Amino acid sequence: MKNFGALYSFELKKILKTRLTVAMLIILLMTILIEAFTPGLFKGFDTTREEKAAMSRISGRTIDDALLQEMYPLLYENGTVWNAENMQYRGVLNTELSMVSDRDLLMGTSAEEMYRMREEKILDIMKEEGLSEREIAWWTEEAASVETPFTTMYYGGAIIYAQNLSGILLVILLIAALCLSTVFTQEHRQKTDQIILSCKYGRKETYLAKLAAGFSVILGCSLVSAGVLALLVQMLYGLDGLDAPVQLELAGSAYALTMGGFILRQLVVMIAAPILFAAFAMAVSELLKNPLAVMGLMVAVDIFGQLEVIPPSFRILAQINAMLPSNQISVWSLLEHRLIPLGNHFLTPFAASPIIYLLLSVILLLAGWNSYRRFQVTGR
Amino acid sequence: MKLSVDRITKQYKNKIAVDRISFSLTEGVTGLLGANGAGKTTLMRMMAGILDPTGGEIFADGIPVQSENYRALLGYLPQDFGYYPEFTAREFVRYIAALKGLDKKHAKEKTEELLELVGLSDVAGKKIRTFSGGMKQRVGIAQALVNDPKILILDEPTAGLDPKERVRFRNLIAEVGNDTIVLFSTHIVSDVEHIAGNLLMMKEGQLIYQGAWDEQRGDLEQFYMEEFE
Repeated sequence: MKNFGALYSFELKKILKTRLTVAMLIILLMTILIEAFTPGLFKGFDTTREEKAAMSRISGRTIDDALLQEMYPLLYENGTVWNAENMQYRGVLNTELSMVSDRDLLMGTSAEEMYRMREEKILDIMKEEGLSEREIAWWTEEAASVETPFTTMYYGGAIIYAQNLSGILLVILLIAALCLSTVFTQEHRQKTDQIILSCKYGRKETYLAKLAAGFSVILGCSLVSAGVLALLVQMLYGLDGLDAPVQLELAGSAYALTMGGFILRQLVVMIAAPILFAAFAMAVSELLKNPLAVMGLMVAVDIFGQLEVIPPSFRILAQINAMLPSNQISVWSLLEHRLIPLGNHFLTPFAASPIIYLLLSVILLLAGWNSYRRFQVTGR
Repeated sequence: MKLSVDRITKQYKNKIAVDRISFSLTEGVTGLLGANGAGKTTLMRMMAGILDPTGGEIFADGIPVQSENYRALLGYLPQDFGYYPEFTAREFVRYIAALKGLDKKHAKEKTEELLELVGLSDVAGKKIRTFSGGMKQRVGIAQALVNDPKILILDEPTAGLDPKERVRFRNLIAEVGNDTIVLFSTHIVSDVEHIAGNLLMMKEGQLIYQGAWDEQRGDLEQFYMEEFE
């Protein structure tokens, strides 16, 4: 396509030259810094380092009766106050707590009972989510790959990174809503549409150049943010624990995944979700010719998604809600076991959501193209 | 080149903005006169391919108005000319040059040439939002000419220009009209009476006069005033 590069660079300039975009990029940078530094500032960087050193001392040990019996007396004496004597067990206790739930049972629970409670808990979650027998059978097979007893290890850096990607994705959504919803509508508002549409490359080429610029900005923000956060977490805490099973953090998850595997899935969401945000912002604003409505809609869906107002008994709605990007990026998505049927197979939400986001994006962009190419300059 | 407008009509719900208008244009300046609301802008938008007619057809040497090939021949200055406040005059004209398919080198040369021609070369690097109305209009004229159009549609191009700029602009258009079809709309008779070899007059969506002005009919301005009072 002749001149596509030139058109693309002008469209990029239009987006990046607005004050709103500059302001949003500053907010994104601040968010990354806050996300990276807050855990250390909250707990104290020295404490974080001591905790890491202490937990690393028992790294590689299986969480069995021997380890639990070693830990219990120290907890009995010190309760939840962590000091130099018991700090190494902090991760083990967290893992046990996410299996046992009831703190009163904590001290007297054997490893066997603990792992049995975990299995019962997973089954309870699945039944509450309305999983079919076939889905439960699928997960039983998947759960066989989860090695028990678990092996303890320090995964503080990995979990800080995984938890904080949610905040970054929220700012990415805001950037799409505020900065990309005007990519097409500014041409109508500023009345530049009439010149553009009367030019040789003002139709298909301009539409594609605008999309390419919008996607570049949003994907650039998303990937650079994810990279900068990884760098800061590595510098401040160390990205240790990528090999740790996700069950150390959320024992109720049936996914046979390591923290690193989960982060990779989050990074796929960090690519697919911004594409959906950008496609929605650009295409729907062109359809409605109203960027404000699009901004409101995007923010409202995000807030609604995080409110958890849909009871699990409304399975389809609850499942759609769980698959919204803001929920898919969250660590809690490890507890989302509702599967998506595809023929005789099932897809996990992690596998299905990027495909669904991209399909929705294509549909939105085709609708946007239909509106763009049929636009008529009237009135004024 | 021959630009043919054949029974072109634009009807909105209960209003006919342009009513079965037919004419042909060849190289030279054609003045389109009419009062506000006569249908001039609607007709020009249809000729620029940005508004679909309800009926009728527009062709340039057989090339339909909806095609990319037609747009490649076109230069258009709308009545309410829009711009990007954060772009400089140079950036804006180069952007339109890219939209019109000029390669980078040609776009750069042509932009500098046109900004010089419209008297903006010394402020070419300044943002358009800092420009006066007349300066903005001159940016609009430059962008319309950037691809050396074969068809030039100018909707009220002299609006906002001071008397000196109007004269300069009229001379420029007369020169462009030597090898280009220029359609120039205005409701100021003096803008076109000396440079337009051909006239179209519109009233309530219909053509009431077309052709060279017949001196036997008297003074053009007088005729216009009587018709559009």
